Amino acid sequence: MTRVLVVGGGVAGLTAALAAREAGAEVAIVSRGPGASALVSGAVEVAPGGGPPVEAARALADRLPGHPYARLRDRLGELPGALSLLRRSLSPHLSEEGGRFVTPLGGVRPAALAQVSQAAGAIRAGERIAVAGFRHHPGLSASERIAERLAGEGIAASSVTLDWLDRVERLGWTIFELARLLDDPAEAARLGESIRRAKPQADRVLLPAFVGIERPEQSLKLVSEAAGVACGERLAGLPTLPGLRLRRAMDRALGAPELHPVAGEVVELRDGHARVDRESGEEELRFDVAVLASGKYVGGGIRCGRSFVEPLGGLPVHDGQGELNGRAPERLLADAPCGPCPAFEAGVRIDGSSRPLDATGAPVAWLRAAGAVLAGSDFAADGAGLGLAAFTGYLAGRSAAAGRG
Amino acid sequence: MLEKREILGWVTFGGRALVVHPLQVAFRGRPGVDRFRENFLPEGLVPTSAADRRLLRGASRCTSCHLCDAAGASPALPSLVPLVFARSSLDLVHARPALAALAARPEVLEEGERLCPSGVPLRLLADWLVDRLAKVDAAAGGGAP
Repeated sequence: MTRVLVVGGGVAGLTAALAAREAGAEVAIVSRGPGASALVSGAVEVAPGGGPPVEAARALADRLPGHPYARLRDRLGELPGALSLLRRSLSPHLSEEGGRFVTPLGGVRPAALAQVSQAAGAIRAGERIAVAGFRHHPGLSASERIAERLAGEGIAASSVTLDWLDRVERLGWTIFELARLLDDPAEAARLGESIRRAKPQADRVLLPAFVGIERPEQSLKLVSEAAGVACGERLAGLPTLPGLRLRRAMDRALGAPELHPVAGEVVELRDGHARVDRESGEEELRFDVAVLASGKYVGGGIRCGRSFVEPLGGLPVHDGQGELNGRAPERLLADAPCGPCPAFEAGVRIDGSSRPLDATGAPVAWLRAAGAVLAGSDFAADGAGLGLAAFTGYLAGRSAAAGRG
Repeated sequence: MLEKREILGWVTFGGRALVVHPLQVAFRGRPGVDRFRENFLPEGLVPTSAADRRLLRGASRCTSCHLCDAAGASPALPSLVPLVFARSSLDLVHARPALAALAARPEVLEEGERLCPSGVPLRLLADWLVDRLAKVDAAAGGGAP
C-alpha cells in the first residue's frame, strides 16, 4: 500500500487526500489551516463563461496556454468526478447543482456548485429578484446599486430596505455577529417578518451571505416561511461567512481518522521524509509520495521576498510563461500595475501526471502538486476558483496513490 | 581632482565621524538606548529588538480577511492585534480596552489562530503588545522599564 503524505489542508489538499484514500493508499494530511480556501465567496467556480464544467474548463485552457487546465487538458474529463468527490465529502454543505449567482457588487458569476443557502439565491429564468439592504449597517446598505447593476444585465431586479436591524443599538456589527444572531430561530423569524412588512414585489429576495453559521439552510427556511416569499443568499466578499462555513465543513471532513490528520506545519520535505512542526513539538513522518498542496502566498506554498521561492521542494518558480527565479517581485508589480501580473501566477510547473518539474525540466518522481501552488493560475483573475483546486487535488491524489514514477 | 568645497565637506563630516563622535560616546556616560527611552518612551515608542522584528514578520502575514473575528465579538476582535496595534507603537494606548477584553477571554485568540488562513501568531502578538504597553506605562510613571 502506497503511503501518501498530503501537505496542505485547503480544498486541493482535502480532495488529494480523499482521492488517494479512495484509490487505496494510506494517507496522512498535514495542515496548518485552510489557506486561501477560507477566503471563498461560497461558490465553487470552474471557469468563467458558464455551461458544462468540462467545456468551460477547455475554453479557459484554449485562452490561457500556461494555465494548469491546459497542462492537464487530456484529463479534463475527470473534472465532474472531482467535483462530485468534493460535494460528497462536504455533505450537506454544497448544493447538487450550480447556476448563476449574484456577487456582492451586483455582478453575475457562473459556478458549478454553491453553498446550499446560496444555491437558493441562484438566478432563475423569468423570476423577479428583490435585493435586500439594511439602512443602519454600513456594509449592507448598497442594495439599490446592486439592483441597478443586475437590471443592467437584463435581470428583473429591484431593491428592498428592511428594518430588521433598526432596533439594534450598536452599529457596525461584524457579519459573524449577525450570522450568530440568525442561528437563533426566533431571530430568523424576525428577519422574515421584516421582509413581509417591506412587501417586496418579487419572486425571490436576495439576502447578504449572513443567514446563520451552524445550520444556514434551516435558518433560511425559517426566514422564507416568515417572509412568505422564497429567500436566498448572494455570494460573499471579505470578510466571508461562507469561508467560515467551508472551514467548518472541511474540518469535519479532515477529521476522518482514515485520513490521519496532523495539525502542524511541514518545515522540511525530502524524498521519503518530512519534518513537521507541531504545538507538542517536532514530528517525523515517512512516506512514499508527497502531494504539495501548500497554496500560494496566503498558504505559504510560494514565498515572495527578494525573489520567488518554493520553500519545501526547492522547486523552480514559474508563471504561465516562463521562469520567475531571480526576477525581482517589485519589478514585476511595477511593470504591470493594472493588468494581469506574473507575480500572481507564480508557482511550480507540472507534467500531465501532476509531477512537479525540477530545474532541469525533469519530473520529480516522489512529488505531486495541486491547487494554488501550480504555475499559471491566478486565483483572483482567471475564474477557475475552487474548481481548479478540487480538480488538480483529485488528479494529484490518484496519481500519488499509484506510486512513484 | 577634488574641489575646495568637497575637501571642506570631507574634513567636516569625516572629522565628526572619526573624532567628535568617538569623543562624545566616550564622555557621554550613558548608552544610546537609554537616551532613546528617555526621549521616546513617553510618546509610546518602545525600542524594537531583532526578536521583535522576527515576531512582526508573523504579523505581516495578515491579509485583512477578518476571518479570525468570527471567534470574538467587539471589542474583543482578534484582527485588531495584527492589523492595528502591531503596526504602530503610538496606537498602543488605544489598544488597552481591546487587549484587556482579549486577555479576559483567551479562548478567542486561540480560536482566531485556528481560523487564520495564513497562520498569524495572534497569541504571541497580543502578549508582546501587553508587554510593550507595560513599558510605556512604566515610562509614563517616571521610571524606565
